[in-house]
Amino acid sequence: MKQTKHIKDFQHGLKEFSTGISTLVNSILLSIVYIVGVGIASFANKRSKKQLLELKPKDTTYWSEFNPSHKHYRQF
Amino acid sequence: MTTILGISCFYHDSAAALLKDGIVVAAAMEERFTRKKHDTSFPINAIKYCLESQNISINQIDHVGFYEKPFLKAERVMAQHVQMFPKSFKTFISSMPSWINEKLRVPRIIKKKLKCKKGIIFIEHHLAHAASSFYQSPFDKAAVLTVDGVGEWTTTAYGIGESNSLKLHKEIRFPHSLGLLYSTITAYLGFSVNNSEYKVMGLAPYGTMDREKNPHYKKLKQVIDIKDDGSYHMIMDYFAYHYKDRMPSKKLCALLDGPVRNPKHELTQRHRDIAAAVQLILEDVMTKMLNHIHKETKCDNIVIAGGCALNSVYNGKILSQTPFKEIWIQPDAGDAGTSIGVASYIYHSILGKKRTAHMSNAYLGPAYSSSEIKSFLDKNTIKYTQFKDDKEMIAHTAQLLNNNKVVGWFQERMEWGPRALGARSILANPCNPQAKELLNTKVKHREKFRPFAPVVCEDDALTYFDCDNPIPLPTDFMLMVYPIKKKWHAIIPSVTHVDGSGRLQTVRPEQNPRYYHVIKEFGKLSGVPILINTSFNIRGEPIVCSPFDAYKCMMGTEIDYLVMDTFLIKREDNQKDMWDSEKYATD
Repeated sequence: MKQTKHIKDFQHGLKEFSTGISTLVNSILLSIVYIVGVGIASFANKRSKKQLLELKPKDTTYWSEFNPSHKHYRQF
Repeated sequence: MTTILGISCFYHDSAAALLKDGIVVAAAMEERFTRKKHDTSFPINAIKYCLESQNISINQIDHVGFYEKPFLKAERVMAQHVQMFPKSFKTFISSMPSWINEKLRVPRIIKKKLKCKKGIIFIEHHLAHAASSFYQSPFDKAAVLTVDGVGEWTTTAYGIGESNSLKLHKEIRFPHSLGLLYSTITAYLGFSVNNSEYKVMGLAPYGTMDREKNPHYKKLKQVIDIKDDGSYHMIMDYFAYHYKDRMPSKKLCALLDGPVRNPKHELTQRHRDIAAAVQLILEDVMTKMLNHIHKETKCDNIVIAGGCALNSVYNGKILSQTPFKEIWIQPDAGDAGTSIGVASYIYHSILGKKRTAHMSNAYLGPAYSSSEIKSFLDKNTIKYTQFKDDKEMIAHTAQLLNNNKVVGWFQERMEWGPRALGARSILANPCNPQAKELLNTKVKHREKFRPFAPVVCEDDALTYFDCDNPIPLPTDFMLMVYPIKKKWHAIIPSVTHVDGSGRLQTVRPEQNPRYYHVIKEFGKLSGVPILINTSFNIRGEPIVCSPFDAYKCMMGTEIDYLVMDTFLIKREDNQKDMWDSEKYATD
């Protein structure tokens, strides 16, 4: 009985350890992706003065055309 | 026969809906089964329920639809990160794992969980909203407006539906969002986002609802540029939601004369005025939009959907403040409702099938038979009595309510949507001045300012309420707030809000006969055929689904009696320390 509890505790600890490690590795990898990937894209974007989000006010209307995709089996 | 399964998940309020030949035969939110409020996980339990309720397997489903286009949404999220680099670092790190593991793997997850090989149909989020409302409405032709936080890119859209065709013409795109403005103020007032927006709506009447006198209305108007055609643009310096996990920016806090309210601190008049100001701004924008849409579409019927369509205070003003003559909103106008929307869109717009019926009631969830309930009670040695028939059950329940008892009411199929509509409700006497306080503190464990809703038989509604005449159908789903006639304010104090209004639910006998007759019977005893109807749960918990949930909720609160089918359970007869509900009451 006591042995089973120890095994369970060990398994639980191992699971927590692996979760912690994967969170750490994910964070490091995502940080690299963010700095390199998103950073370069952002730099290029700023250089070309392209606005991905429309942040400037307009004089007339803010309504724009709604253009749905007609390819329904696609995720985009 | 064509059977379609609609799914919405991975954002908030996961749900599934099943359509047979265009008619919704089953629909439920995942939270009711997992008991986790606003559950976002894959709605496997809701899907199982939908299939089992119709005795079919996944192989008998003709089409499976998903409520949004995940890659388009990912494009918007990436655009936010690129545009806001390096400010968006923290949200990038915290949000990316769920994108990689879930949101970009929707077809694989659906196929794996359901063991189904069919292709999945994806439609735009706002099309799903629009379809959920128009295709389930009683109108052959209607203007359509969808307003929510954000879908893929769209935050607001309008168009027109006619017969089995639905087109959205114009949109407003992220980061400009009326829903997110309301959510930002919800966060600023110390309430939880995507959950407590209705509390801000309930708090607003305690503030100054006069545009000239409210000190924060003019200030808050600085954060949004509203055009005469109802289109709008947020001044993004006041917001942080496009790059941070908090919504108001420091500049907004400075504008509103203070920091974000700590939820543990008391609400002050300043907070109430801010709640009133955001409600007024929402009303300004919505009215301008609806006037513009009417002008563009030249249609007298309007259907609305999206989270903002749950703003029942404004919904009650639409017909009097705009040229529209009729309105329809489906019971779950929020994201869960898009599961019905995508399935309806597939059936009518993609397959081109004709419309045959509209949604006339919201009872689409699981039901439990008398024998199932009896078996549950016996197995758990719960003391109960059984009425010999419905008549006796109705008469006895009405008597209990007239004696100021609080009654848990569990009958037949569970409601679809966030409101309890007489299938999983807590009922009480609205004439009892202590009822509101008792229900808020001892039963629901929620904030004292929050009002309770009245339920009235449809044929009595005009006697007590200043509603539109004829009474709009969304009142059946508790989606419209109307003034209570002045002479009744003192007679039904527990359902009369501080501004003299009530979020009424109307009931028709064909929708829910037991509920209808209890209200009528109570009217004979008390002289007022109105009851308090509040959802059968405590704060922070989903509405009860099964007999076990209902019994557990009663035993943990001060609900006096539970009426399940024709069984009566008295809490005092079953004193067991099953559950201290107060400690679980959270946002």
